[in-house]
Amino acid sequence: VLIADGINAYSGPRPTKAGNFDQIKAIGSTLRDYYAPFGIATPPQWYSVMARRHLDEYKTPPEALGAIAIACRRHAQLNDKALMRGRPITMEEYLNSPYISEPYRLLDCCLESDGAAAVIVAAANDREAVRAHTPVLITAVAQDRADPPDDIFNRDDVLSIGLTKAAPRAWEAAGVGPSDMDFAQIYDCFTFEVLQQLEEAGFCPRGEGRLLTENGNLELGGRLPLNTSGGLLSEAYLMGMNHILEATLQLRHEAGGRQVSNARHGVVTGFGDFCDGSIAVLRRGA
Amino acid sequence: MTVDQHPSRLSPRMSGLASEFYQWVGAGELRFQHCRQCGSWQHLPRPACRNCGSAELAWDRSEGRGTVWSWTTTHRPILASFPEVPYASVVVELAEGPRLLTNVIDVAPEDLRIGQPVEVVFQPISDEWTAPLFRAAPRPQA
Repeated sequence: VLIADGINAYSGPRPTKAGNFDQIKAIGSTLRDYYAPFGIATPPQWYSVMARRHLDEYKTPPEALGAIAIACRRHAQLNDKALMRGRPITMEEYLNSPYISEPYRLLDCCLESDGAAAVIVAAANDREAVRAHTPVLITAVAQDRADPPDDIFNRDDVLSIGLTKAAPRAWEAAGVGPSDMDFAQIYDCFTFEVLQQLEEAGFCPRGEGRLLTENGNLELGGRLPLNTSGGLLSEAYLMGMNHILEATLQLRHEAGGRQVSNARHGVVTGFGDFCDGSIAVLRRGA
Repeated sequence: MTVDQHPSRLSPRMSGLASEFYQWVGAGELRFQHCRQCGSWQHLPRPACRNCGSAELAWDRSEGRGTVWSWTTTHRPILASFPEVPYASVVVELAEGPRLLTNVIDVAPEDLRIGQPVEVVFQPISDEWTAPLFRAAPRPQA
């Protein structure tokens, strides 16, 4: 099965800027009737309201989010296809980047880009399909939504997202856990969502994500290399399909200068709308 | 009366449950669905109670007092109906429990604090609708 994905987020129309909320069907009514009349119409706005709760409650410093932006940007320097190759950033540049929707700065936000990606999925025992490459096995997938899925602000637990429910099911089905992962490709629409997903997927307890961002833990050579292609923040925004490509290259050991040494297990997450979440646990097949 | 800083704000669609919510606001009352079975208050309005599933929901009046729960300050204009930046979109947690996205008219974005007491003001926007906005409350609440 060929799974392809393309987007013209740079050259194409911006639906919310045009005020056409009907295009965003799943959450359009909430935006149209309850959010937009008060100035919120785009993801950096609604996620940053949630991010502020975490930053306030757990004293998460901006440097924790900056470390995520920097790790992705650093990895992009090793990727010929990354839009931000040749444009490394420092913490000072991160902290000085202008606010978009405070607490989100420009460098907390993913790119807007045109592009496409595709993968081929075949049965694990299909010898014809897998002979050209080292197979990458999908050991578990799961997805879920926050409750309620159509309003971020009235959740009993505002930091509980779709992944909070999906990740335990995926880990159990895969028979491995966060500590077994050699890398993580985490949907990085915004930096805080990376920190949040790492916490909710069980890589650390909630509120301790900032510790995971310290000491180069999320960079190549660290404890959990994050978004080794540069991700949505620094390679391209391809709705997350590039994370699946990158995980596949890593597990084939074909990632060149950004290869995680002897990578055998990896995880990919997806995130969308008002915090719907998905997770795929992958394993090198040889 | 304080003047709304966003007079061109987009009107909600006056249909379905949203129209019921905003019609009460237009009458100068902030009302939320209140479940007759389990006693839960809820916002957004829905056909059934989120907590127990009952359809026995009544529109009961909120005192209109609450606290700042969170907010975002938009620095880069994105909505044509909100051209003036920076502005804060604020989630207020009402004393009864529901949280409402709104704007606080008399507090600058940089002066907002989580837990700050606020109270509702009814701001007519056009002949069609009135917005439930908030202002700093005169004294902290118990």
